[in-house]
Amino acid sequence: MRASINQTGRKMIPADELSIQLIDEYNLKFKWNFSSLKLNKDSEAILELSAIGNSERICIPSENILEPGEMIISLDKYIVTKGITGRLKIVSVGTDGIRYILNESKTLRLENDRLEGEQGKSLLDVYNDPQLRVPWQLAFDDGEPVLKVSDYHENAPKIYTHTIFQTSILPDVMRQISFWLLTEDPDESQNSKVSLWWKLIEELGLSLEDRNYLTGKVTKDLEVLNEIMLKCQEIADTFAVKHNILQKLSNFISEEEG
Amino acid sequence: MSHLKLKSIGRFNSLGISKFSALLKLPMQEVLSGTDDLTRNPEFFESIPCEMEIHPIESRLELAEILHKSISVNLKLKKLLSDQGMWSWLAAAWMPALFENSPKSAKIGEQARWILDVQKTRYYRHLLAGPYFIYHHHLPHPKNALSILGGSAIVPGELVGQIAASSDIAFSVGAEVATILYVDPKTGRPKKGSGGAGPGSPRRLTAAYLNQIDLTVDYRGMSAKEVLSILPKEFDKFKIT
Repeated sequence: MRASINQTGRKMIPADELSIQLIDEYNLKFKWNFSSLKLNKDSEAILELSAIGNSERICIPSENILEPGEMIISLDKYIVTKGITGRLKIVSVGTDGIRYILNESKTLRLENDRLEGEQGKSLLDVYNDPQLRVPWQLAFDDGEPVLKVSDYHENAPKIYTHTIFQTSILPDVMRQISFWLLTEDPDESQNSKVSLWWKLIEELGLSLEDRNYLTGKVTKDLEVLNEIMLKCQEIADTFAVKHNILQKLSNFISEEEG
Repeated sequence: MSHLKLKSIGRFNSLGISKFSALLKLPMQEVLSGTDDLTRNPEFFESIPCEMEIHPIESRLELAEILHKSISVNLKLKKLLSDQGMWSWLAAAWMPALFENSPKSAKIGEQARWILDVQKTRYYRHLLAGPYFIYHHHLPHPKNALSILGGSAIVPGELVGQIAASSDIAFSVGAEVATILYVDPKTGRPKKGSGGAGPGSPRRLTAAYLNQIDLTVDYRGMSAKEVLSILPKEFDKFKIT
């Protein structure tokens, strides 16, 4: 099972200790039952709810949250109640006035809104699996994409310059580079080549709105990752069409057969 | 001049949405001339009594004010705030007014600008629903969100694109922080140099700062002044009014 820690190394509140569910169109129930939540007198529990067109913060008294309980939250102000997500934070105000997050939950999804609640394995983990053994690999060691190829086979140099190999992998290389740019959002000021890559994928159909939106999400959830994958596939398809990949392959086959 | 006083507005049915979607794929002049028929032909929509004045506007804020004035007093419309048919009809009806006196860069653009995409990750792109939702959320002080309400309604601009794309920021004190940093209080327009991706830019504020500290700091529970006080030095140049 994946460890429940966030990117800063903080242990997250286990998902089974709290939940949100719609009672009806106008009310939501928040339930909690913590096993090891530590609070001090200065800490606060904040439940943040968000949905299309709305965002709300609800402060839960510390003394109430230590015992199992539930609360009903009115959704009168909400434009859309489907797909509401939540996040519980335990916050402590420092002497400098900064509100530090001591502990937090994973994203809470409505228990009775299955379309929004489905979970899956992180695509990033699958994608970046170092154990993957392949004849070619796209690496980003120096902040820019580099295509590495295996020389295991005797005919490797011929393979990598062959039409069939190039027409097969180049669109996917383009897809992977797009994925890297949109998920890593590398600093353009550190490497001028990165700007050229951005320019290239913008020419291949990435709009400014899409770029802003997709790179703006630091903690990318499955929904956003799926959108990124889809956009990268579109970019790769445009690349393939622009460079007549299929035509080149077809011509090659015709020549071979002729 | 595109000036209309409506006694009722429409709510596209599925045929109306389908026709509008097909129309949006045509060249701009054909789209502009085609919306008139689409918003008048009762075959394509259901009519809802509602007084609304449509005329050329200067900003997303002005547009949101007009929409709010009509919607807030109408019980039926309040229940249709996430309705694709209503927002799409409104967008079609407003289209000629939005293009009037618009910047040269104005274009029809992607479908989500006109037909409300009810996905959580795209709805804000709608040219009418986007500013309306932001305005509604930031009441009674919508001008605090001028960073995402101040742009042209038809060409929202990079500042709007950056801030509105992150709903955690757009629907929190983050919008006010962006307003203080990037909007000139005298003109209501973006400050010089607030575009791009360089140090102190809106892109840095969202992707490289607020979305990062969100893991350790509950900035959404702090005042704009408090958030400004913890920003790195790269933002100092924009703190000066």
